[in-house]
Amino acid sequence: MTNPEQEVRGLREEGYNVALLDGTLVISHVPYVRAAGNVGFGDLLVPLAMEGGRVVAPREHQAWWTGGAPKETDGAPLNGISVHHAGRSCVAGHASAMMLCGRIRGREFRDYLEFVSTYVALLGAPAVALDPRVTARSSRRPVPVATDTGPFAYVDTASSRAALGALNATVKGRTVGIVGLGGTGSYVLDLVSKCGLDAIHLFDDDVLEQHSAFRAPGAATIDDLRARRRKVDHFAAVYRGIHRRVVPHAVRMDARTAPLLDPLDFVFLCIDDAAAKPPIMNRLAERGIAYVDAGMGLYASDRGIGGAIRTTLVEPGDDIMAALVPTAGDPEGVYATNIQTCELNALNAALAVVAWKRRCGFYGANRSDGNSVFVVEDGRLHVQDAGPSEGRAA
Amino acid sequence: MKDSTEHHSAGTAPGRALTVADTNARDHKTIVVNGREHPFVGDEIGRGELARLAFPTVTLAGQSALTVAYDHGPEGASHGLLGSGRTTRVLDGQTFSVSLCDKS
Repeated sequence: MTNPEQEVRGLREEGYNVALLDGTLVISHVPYVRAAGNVGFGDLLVPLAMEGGRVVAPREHQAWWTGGAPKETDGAPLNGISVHHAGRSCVAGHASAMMLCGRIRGREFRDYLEFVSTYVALLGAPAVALDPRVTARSSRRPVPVATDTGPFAYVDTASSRAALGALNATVKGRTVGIVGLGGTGSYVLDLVSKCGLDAIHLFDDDVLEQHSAFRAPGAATIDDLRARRRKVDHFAAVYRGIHRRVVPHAVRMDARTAPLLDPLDFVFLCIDDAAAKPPIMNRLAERGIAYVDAGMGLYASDRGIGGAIRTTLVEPGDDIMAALVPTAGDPEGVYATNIQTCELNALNAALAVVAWKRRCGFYGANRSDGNSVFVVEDGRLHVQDAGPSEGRAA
Repeated sequence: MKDSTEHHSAGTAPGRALTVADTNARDHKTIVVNGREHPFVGDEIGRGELARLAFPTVTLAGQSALTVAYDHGPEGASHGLLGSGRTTRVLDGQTFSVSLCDKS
């Protein structure tokens, strides 16, 4: 096993123009024969398989290709490589790529040198026949070996494996905050910690208590509970294992502390105390910061637990959506229950993160997200568009 | 409101009893609010009445941020969210979810 930088250096010593981007080897200036019959050049993108931060033998034999459909010298489709033409941008900053599929008969590639040299040879053979001077091993454009894993503690191979680099760029570099680290907020952290965010700020002044462990992702140990740390410190310590920029703020959010939200691009509002929300919402509105408010209202009956979980995306100036957020407490106990279950916390969090990522462009959107309500006993998700239209369901 | 129970008498065929019950059902619907059945007379229902059925001590002010959804409703709008000031036509067996979604 090697590390990613060693792989790049090994290929570079063979004369390839190689960079490492988002866990993907990018081999530039690879010759091939275009449909027009002349020689062209493209970039070959090869996601690295990794275990424990180390590069392992390739498990798949697909690669991505930014050039056109490769041909033989007579214009026939290239032998030895099948081409899947539906292209997409799989590494940020690179052109749309099509998937190529080729391998040594009967087995996977032994290592990435064999992987790259096989693809380059297959792609380039017709081009060399037309012009013996062309080669991918020119080393004409030396580039530095990128060793930065971004905000992550190790390379995000899940994204490179699925060629999602360009879509990840829609959330990359952003800064979000999570206000409230109860069941829903802690699951939001679990999900956004796998995004290439510049930083994740946590706001909560509660201590991690035993009941908290049963509504949070992962498995807090008895030592974690006996440590009596603040939730923000506990979760920051846990999630720095994958995302290096999780920033704890052991504060209760109110009018005095709300300016801490000013530098953020987006906020997940996951607090129980509805009466505490107005100063936060007012500050976010003043600063033009969008947010998702997540909340559930469950009841227990003879038929089991029922109720609804609500996920409301509020864009700056959307007073209709803002009005759907409960902002008055329940001192009389009219609504009574405080039932929450971790799977519904997780669902509420997932819907909140999906709404945010759809807003960023990561997920496709046929409608403007506004309010969504999942009714437990119906198993149905009702959605209400942002803006003036309401009352629609899907 | 008419009696909602089925009427059985000695010697009445089962089919006859069903007919009586069907006749009564035309004046009286049963709706389910937060898992509990309630008799309902009328054609339409709004958030205020649903809030009182779900939370008998709720005040008018407390209704504004309630989340109200329904299912098994009338054709063309058989399910959806009931926003502020809105009503829905009521069918027998229609289900409603009324909650203050404020826990996290």
